[in-house]
Formats: sequence, C-alpha cells, structure tokens
Amino acid sequence: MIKTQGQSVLDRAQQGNQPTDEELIARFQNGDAYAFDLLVHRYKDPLLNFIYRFLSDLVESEDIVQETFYRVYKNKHYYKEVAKFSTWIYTIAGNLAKTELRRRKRRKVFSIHKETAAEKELELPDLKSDPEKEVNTIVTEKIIQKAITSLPQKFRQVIVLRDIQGFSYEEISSIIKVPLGTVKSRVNRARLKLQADLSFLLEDLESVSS
Amino acid sequence: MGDSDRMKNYISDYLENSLDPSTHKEFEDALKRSPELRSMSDRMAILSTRLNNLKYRKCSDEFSLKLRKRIHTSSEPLISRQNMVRYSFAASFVIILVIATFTITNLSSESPDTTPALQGSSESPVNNTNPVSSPVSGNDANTFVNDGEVNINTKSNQRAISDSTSSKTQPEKKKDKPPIKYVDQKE
Repeated sequence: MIKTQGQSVLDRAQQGNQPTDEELIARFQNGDAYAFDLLVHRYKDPLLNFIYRFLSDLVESEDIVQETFYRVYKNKHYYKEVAKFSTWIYTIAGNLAKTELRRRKRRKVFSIHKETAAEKELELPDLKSDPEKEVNTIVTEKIIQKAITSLPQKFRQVIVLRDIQGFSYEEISSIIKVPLGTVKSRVNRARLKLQADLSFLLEDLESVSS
Repeated sequence: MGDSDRMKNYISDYLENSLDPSTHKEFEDALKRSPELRSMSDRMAILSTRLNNLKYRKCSDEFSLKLRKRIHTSSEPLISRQNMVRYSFAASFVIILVIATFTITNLSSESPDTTPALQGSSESPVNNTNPVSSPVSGNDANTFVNDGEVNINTKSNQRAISDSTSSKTQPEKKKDKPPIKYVDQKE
C-alpha cells in the first residue's frame, strides 16, 4: 500500500483540539489576524514542497509561497466554505507555479535545475552521520527531482499532489479541476513515465531492497 | 490494446488497493503470467515510496517576518493615498481662505471712505471739524440740507448710495464716470 508524507503533515497539524483550516479562515475573515498566522504556520512548508517540485528552485518557490499567502490575505473574503481551505490554497499556489513556469518558458530558460546558494547550503550533508549514505541520498533526490521536473506539466502536477503531498484523488480533482477518472489515469501514466525515466535508478533500488 | 497494456492502467489502483474484486483477481492473474508487468508493479511501488520519502523542505526562518513586511508594505500606499486626500483637502481649504481674504481686502479697499477722490472730504476729522459749515467742491450750498430736509447721510455716504444705484445699471465703468457735482442740489 502506498503511503503519503504530505497528508500526514497536515493531519498532524490538525490533530487534537486545534481548530480546522475552515474555522481559522472564518476567524480571519472576521478580523482575527492570529488565525492567519496559524494558517501560515500550518501551510508554509507543505506549500513550499509542492511548489519546489514544480520549479526546482527553493528561493523562487519560497517567493511563490509568499505570494500565495499574500493573495489569501488580500482575497480572504473570496473564500467560501463550499470547498476545503487546502483545496483553495493549493489551487492558488498551483496557478502561481504554472504562471512562473510559463514565464520561464517565455524567457527560454531551459535549465531544469538552477541551484541557488541557499539550496546548496540546505543540502550540505551532515558529516556526523554516514557521509557516503548522505551523498547518495542527495544524488538520488536530485535525479528524481530532475525526472519530476522533466515530466509534462499535467503529469507533474498530479504526481506531486498525490505522491508527495498526499492528497486524495477527489481533492486533486477539485484542485486541478479535472474529472476524477482523468486524475487517476494521469497519476498512473505519470508514474509509468517516471518509472521509465528512472529505470536505471530503480533497478539499483530494487536490487538493494531485494 | 493487448491484455498486458490494459493491465498497466491498473497498476496504481492495484497498489492502492482500490480495484474492484473481479478486476483485482484479473490483475493478479496477469501478474503471474507476465514478469514484465510484475517488474513494473514492483518498481512503481518502490518509486512511490521513494517519492513519499523525498527530503521535506522547510521555509526559511524569516519567512513569516518577510510575509508580514510584505503585507505591511502593500497596505502603505493605501494609507499614503488617504493622507494625500486629507492633505489635498487641507491645501484647498487654505487656498480658498487665501482667495477669500484677498477678495475681502480688495472690496474693503474699494469702499468709499478710502477712495482717493474722497480723501480730504468733509468727513475727514483732520481737515474738517465742522462739515455743515464747509461743503465740498467750493459750493456754498449745504449739502446736508435738501429742500428744507436735513439729510443726515454724510457726503461720502450719499455718494456711495448714488454709486450703488448707478452701478446697477453701469457696473463696470467706474473709472469713466464723471465726478459728481453737488452744486445742482439747490436747483
């Protein structure tokens, strides 16, 4: 059974007596600025991971997350409780990421991965642990990230939402506004494509696991 | 489409255990028959696990601070716009006040008591202490007495009244107006 990481992060955030996202946005709509801070705290990292898998640039991704929250702040009254708050905010973030990708295309920037200083710093291996393992992990992740980025946008979006963010098919359908069957089909095709692109890596991982 | 190709579409659903029982059975039969399908299914499971365990990125420590600054900055132009409106109102008020003061000053400077033509007239306390006994313009007639009735208006007031009545018909030609002669009053 496939488990997802992103969902567990959101679930953890909403455990206990903590208010739901919908309660928080309602409070924020009524002028409670602290509720907005809680939403920022809850969503900033999941959104960063979502955007990062699209853009492969941490600094730009963080800027887009900033822009997402800024839009939520400015347009708080546009949110109606017919949809989940997470669906709404991920739709905003996804649209901003797509806009950024289109802008990049116009600029004819073909570099798939632009490594920034901040990113290099974040990826420095912890030398106290096994350096070889750390380096392998980093290399593997870079290869996977590159493969994700080279996927067609419609596949990339669904696989990130499903396998990295951990959304249900129904939620993905709401976020990207395509029918449920199409989402399922796209996820499967994206996985097959990714699998084909990463065959050399998966063979190694397969041999290690077996 | 071959059976193997059709079954490829079900790999995700099989791994997520969301196939209906009959398709699930059909898929497992296909797995036994096709090593390629088996391999694909295994690799997809590994891939999904690997994707799920990708390094979790975190926003920088200054993220919230930056966001607050951004929100604050974006609200500044609105405040300055409001201030601009206030300042414009204040400026217009001052301008109107200045114009009004200027107009009032001009009007008062045109008042009869201060017109140069009347300077040195009988009302002047310096030149004439007894206006009745010394009429203006060299005429001996008492301008305060008309047909046996005493006109208590001073000469300047009389002129002002005369001006105001004539200005209704000819308001713009003050300079061309001939000087008033008081000599005809007795006649």
